[in-house]
Amino acid sequence: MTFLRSYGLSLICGAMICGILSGMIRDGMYQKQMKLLCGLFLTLTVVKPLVQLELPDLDSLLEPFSQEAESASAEGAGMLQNALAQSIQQETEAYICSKAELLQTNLRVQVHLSNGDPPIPDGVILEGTAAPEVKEAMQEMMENELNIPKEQQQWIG
Amino acid sequence: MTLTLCVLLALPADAKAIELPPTPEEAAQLIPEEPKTFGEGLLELLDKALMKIRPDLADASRGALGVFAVVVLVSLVQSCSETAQKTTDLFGSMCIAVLLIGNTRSFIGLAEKTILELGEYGKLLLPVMTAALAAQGGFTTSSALYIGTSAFNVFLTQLLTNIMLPLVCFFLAGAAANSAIGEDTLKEMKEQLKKGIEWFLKTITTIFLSYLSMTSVISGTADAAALKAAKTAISAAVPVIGGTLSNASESILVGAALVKNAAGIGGIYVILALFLHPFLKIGSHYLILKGTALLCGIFDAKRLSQLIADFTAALGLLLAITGCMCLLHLISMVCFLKGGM
Repeated sequence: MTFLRSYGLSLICGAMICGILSGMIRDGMYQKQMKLLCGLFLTLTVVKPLVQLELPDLDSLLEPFSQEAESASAEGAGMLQNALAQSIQQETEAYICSKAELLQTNLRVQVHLSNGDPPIPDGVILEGTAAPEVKEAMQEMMENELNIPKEQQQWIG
Repeated sequence: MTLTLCVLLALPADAKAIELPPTPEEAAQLIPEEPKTFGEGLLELLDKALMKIRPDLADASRGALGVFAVVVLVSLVQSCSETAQKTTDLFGSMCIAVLLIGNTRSFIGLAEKTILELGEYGKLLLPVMTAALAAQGGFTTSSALYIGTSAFNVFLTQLLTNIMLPLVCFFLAGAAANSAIGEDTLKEMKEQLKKGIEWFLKTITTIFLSYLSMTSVISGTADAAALKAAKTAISAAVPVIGGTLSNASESILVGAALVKNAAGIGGIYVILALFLHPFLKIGSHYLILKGTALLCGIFDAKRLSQLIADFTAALGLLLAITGCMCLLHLISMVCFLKGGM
């Protein structure tokens, strides 16, 4: 706005000066030369500020918007990640419980997920009493079907 | 709204974090209450906005009647004395300018207020929609849409309030001066001003539309590929129930899409509520003044008719300016709603 105001003002002033000068030498012998000089002066007034005008760097202009976009987008991505992790954890726990029930054993299951993207089950804590053969069958099942190694399976009780 | 509540209750706790920013008080009066469909909500909103502008119609009619009376009076005097044509034209132009300038100034203020309100609400709404779209898996699209829409929002708000609205004032000043002088010395200037504003609005809308279309297509493909890769990774990492887990992630995305749509539709209602009343108010004055200009054309008072037509054109420009700002927000909302998955 400041640039536009000063540019407009300089144009008006330039035009006024040229108008006064050409009015003063209306019938003189230097009329043509004066017109030429006025034309050059006006051209300079019009062009010089435009040439000197420094266009702002687009990257620096968009930088704050990029940061805001990243933070809002990360918030949404976090929501999706949490919901996904919650769902995977619940589904896996339900699956292990159903397998234990098939072997007539009641277990409390808590699945741990990896921190990767997407989160996958990488550990489990099983609570409850189970016969050794059931325990072994469950361990086999979790290793083969859920890819949870025996070392990451913790039995309590 | 009931549907929104049901959807929110059925979703994971994090999704509930997506909440619309508070609705401005004036717009809140127009927001539809529990519409069954989007169309029904729009009709209710329009109905409320039309009810709200009724007192303005009487006001506009009174103003138009005053203008018409001046034209009739000037024509009457001119028919009695041909020598007084210049004086009566000047007097008539001054009277019409005085009668119309007050209303037009208040409309310029109203347009400015609407643009600023839309801009401010947009600044609050865009992060919400960005998060909602990212929660649906549209990470790249949401970022690109946010950057483009925010930049255009700030740029357009500044440009419309600081340059375009003052240019409308210049146009009006030029029109009044041209009518008072009686020679068409300023005609070209005001015509160019009008064309310039129209050209700018058309160009900026086209650029914005092109940017959004390209962004949606390009980043939409990247997001779809990323989501597919994530699903495959789940299926591959967990041997037996990987497919089930992958399907569960699908239902999460559907839930997130429902939340995003509810937020987007709510946002569209608020944007329209902010825009519709000022737009209809200026629009009704525009139509009444246009009718008056047509009626005045019957009389042999070309300069006065032209001045009224110029005031009508200024109102038309105000409609275009506010419409452009509203369109920017509506288009971006639609892009956010369409993006993802």
